[in-house]
Amino acid sequence: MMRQKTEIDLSALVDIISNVAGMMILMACIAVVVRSKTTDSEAAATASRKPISYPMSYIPEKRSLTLCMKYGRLYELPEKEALTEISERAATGMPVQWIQLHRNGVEAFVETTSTLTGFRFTYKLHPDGGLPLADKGAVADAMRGIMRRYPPDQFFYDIHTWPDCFDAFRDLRQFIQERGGEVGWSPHAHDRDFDVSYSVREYNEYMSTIKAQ
Amino acid sequence: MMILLLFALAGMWLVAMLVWAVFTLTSHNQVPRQREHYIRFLLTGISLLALLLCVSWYFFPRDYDDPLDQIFTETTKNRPSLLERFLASSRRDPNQSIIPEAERATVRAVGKVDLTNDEAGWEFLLDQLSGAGSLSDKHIAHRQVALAQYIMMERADVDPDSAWSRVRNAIPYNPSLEEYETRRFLADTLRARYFESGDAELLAKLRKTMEFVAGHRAGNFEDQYNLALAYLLDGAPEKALPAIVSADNLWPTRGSMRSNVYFVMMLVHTILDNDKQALTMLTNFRDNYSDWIYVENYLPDIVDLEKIYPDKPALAVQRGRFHQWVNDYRSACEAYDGAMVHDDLSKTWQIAATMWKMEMTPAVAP
Repeated sequence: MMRQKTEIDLSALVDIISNVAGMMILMACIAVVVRSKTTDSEAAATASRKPISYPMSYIPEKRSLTLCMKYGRLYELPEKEALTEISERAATGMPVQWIQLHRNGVEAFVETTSTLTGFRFTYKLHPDGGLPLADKGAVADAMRGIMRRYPPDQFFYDIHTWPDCFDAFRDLRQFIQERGGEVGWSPHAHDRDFDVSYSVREYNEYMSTIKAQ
Repeated sequence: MMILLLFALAGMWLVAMLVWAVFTLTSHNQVPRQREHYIRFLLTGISLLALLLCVSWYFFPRDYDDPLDQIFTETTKNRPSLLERFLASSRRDPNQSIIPEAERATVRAVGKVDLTNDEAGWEFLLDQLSGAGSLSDKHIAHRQVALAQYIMMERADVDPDSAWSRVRNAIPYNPSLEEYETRRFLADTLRARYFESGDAELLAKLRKTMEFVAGHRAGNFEDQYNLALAYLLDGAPEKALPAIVSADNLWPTRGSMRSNVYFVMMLVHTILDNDKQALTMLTNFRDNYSDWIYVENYLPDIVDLEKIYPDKPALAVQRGRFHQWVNDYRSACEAYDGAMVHDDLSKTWQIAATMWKMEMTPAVAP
């Protein structure tokens, strides 16, 4: 006599597990919504007990990103690359006095300040670098990329501009403002040995403005 | 560890489900109805895995090896993501480069990086600078790493975890100095985040961190200034005074940042009711604060301090004087009047406010 094989139908069990899982997912979604509302109320509470509304030591609410427009071209300054280089070299245990590097037509010179508390950045723009402003599509793409890396809610865009680029600056400013960005303008009239210079945590007596810190 | 265990369990379950599903669906003995159930079962497994991830994201705390790590993480973000916690559970290799090779190549390919730092001036700098003469090469290098990472974290798109890892694992040299520089970096980050959020908990952490940093034997003028700021904002002006005086004594240069020391010292004296010192400093303010005309830079700071110290109306008198110097007579009068009705205003400041208000009164023809 052949042994008869017993068929077990697991479909009911699968349905139950599916339903339970679905309910748990729904509950998780509700928990996420409740959690986000709680976070908002916590943020509001934090804001209400905020003791000050303005940075005491002149740190702007937004960070700044410096761009340049000269020779009909748009330049991004290689600050990050220079600092990366300093960081890597200092990590070997030897202090770095200064470095000089060249990237995309921008010559950067970064040196340690005399008080060993910060860095001084000096840049020279070259006509063979940067992005041609005449190529509006490429400029728009580049600016979208920059604004993704440096979001408008966290950064304002400080643009150093020379007379040959004043017209193009207006277009660029409009482009940024339409996307919620804030734009600062630093017009330059004459060529100097260097084009842009600023310091971070330098206490040199020749520093003339607090905002420059 | 808990996160890792959950990931391992969930991963094993998912693999088992996939194997089962593939095996079942490729078997020709199954009727279509059963195949459908197995697919549903597989989807259920994936859904439960997603649920598990959500639950772990919300309810399982990160394991910290060091309290400093915890402070830094709490400083830079409200709650680390699951991926961040997963990565943090196995510490990053400090020697592993975080810089894309393309960028490294960009910097190096041009061949213009010049690091022949053998000038006599550099040696002189290292040996002779005030407040820095005792720093070793490795100590300076560690500070440069921390400073570069801090600037990149604040001004570029370098993520805080990478920056923190770089600073913590920069150079092994002197444990005490390593901790000093690491906490210095932490204090910079805390200060920046506090100015962004105004969170009182961050201020408490900043104060504690700055007490360590400024109290360290390697502490410098910058640390003393920042400690004074932390005390002042945290409602401890009596502790801020010696710190700001020390900063003033140690400050190696003149210039506009030195003006900030003067400004903060004047405010501390005002809050401490040292009327004579405060009035003297206010009288000499324009000679010692080159940017006095840019009231929008510093007046909001006084307004903030008025909120922290509501029983110090002399601050409002000072604010009125600054308004008056830039010919904003209406704001000046409002500030003087607001202070004069306050019972806590001392006689000295009452007289000063009265006199300064009279300066703004137009002459009456006889």
